Amino acid sequence: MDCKQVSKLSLLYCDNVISSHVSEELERHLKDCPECARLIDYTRREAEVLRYDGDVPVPGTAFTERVMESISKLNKSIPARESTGINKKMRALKPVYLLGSLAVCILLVVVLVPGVKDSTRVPGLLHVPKSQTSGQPVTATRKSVNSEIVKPLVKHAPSPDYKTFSKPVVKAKDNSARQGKSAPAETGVEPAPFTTGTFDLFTPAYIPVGFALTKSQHDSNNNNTMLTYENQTGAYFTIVVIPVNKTETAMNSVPLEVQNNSKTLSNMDNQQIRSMAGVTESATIGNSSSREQKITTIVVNIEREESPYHVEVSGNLSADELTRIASSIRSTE
Amino acid sequence: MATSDESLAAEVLKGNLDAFEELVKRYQQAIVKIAYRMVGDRDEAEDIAQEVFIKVYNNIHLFDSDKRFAPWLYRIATNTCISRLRRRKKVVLLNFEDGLTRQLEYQNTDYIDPLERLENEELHKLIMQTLLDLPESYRMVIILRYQADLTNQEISESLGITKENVEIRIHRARKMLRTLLISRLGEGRTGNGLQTGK
Repeated sequence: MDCKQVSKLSLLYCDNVISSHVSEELERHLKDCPECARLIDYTRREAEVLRYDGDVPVPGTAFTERVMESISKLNKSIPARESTGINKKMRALKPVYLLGSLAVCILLVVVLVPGVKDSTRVPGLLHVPKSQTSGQPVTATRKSVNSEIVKPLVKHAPSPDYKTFSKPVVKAKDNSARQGKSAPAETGVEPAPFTTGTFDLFTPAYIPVGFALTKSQHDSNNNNTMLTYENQTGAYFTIVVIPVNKTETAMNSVPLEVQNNSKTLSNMDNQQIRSMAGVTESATIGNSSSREQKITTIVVNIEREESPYHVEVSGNLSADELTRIASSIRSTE
Repeated sequence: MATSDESLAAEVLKGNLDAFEELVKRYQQAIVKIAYRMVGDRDEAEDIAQEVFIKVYNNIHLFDSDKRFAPWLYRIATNTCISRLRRRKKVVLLNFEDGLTRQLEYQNTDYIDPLERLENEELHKLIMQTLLDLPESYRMVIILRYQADLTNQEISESLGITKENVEIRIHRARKMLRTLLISRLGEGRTGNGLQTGK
């Protein structure tokens, strides 16, 4: 072995990763060559110095706690992060919405006046009066809903962001709902067993036929709720309910503030609701089978006494259908 | 026996935050160390480490449970460090694999021993500072090899390069480090008779 070879092998030799007969040969060379012996000695000591970590900060329990704290905040910010994009789009459309909501306000005043007497209203939430629910317009819509769901939809899993938080819940109910294929909208799906503690629970009164609650998550720290409903053809919708304080609502410029005006909502057709609710139709998502489907998000604000809620319903159903679901969300309190 | 990293990761996927905390505790020192050596700033290092763990948590569903957890974590860590450095510097990084090392070939560095010329503390400081001047790809292998104490195989998994490539990179990185050290010592002490010849 010559000096050049030793130089090449020096690192591997010092890391003890060369075969024994090569290192024996190398050592034989070192005995006769002080130059190479110095190189090996240097390489070894240099490696020691490179391992030095006396100046490295030592993260203690404070660091661990900080990480865990930001992880728990993350639970809150995931839906919020999604809404940012929506809000941005909405902000761009602000003047339109302002005009729209002005028109809606006028409409509300006109329609609300006779509706004030309705005693069945649940305080504070979007509310579809029973007479209206069972009335003709809704039935008609459900038929159209059916035909829509039967259409084979491209499989699209709910956002992977949610996966982490999803819990395998309500399996039994889920199955029965699926087998029945016609879970009654009002009673078919019960909310999942959430974490204990007091919090507001929101579920849609209207759930399209064939859909069942497959995932649920409640963050008791922030009082956020997320529910995912799916059917067997891969269609899904997700409801995210986030309590907001009023200043936040103002800052986010969410265009819709529904204040106990559910009656009005049910009197309007979907087009009208869509024009007043924040509807975002996202860019189409392509997939391998070249079929495309839209993920739509409906944003509704629910004002209930002192606690307003920001509600987002998103999924691969039509905007009309999602709007219908959004407008039927009510508290189970 | 302690639960394996991989089983803990599977628990995290099920929503077990305690499992995640355990992973943080196991790896926080290593990640802070890597980040500190990459960026040279204590606060930023902790900041990066925090970002790494958040990324790990957010992407835990992408972790392949058939594989080992540590290389996956280190890959996130190295990528985070490098993207942080790029954001900070906003410069185009050159590929150092070729040009620079070839330049170093004809500098004979075997006869000088920078390690002998400095007191320990001073030496450590100088070496770690010099490390920060290495190209990122070189710095990273040195840090993973000597600071995080990974094997070449583990480095290869973490960086997504072949084991042979890791060996070559470490070799070149150390050669460059030595050259830089000598030139620094020379700069600092010109006239003190430090210049040694064969």
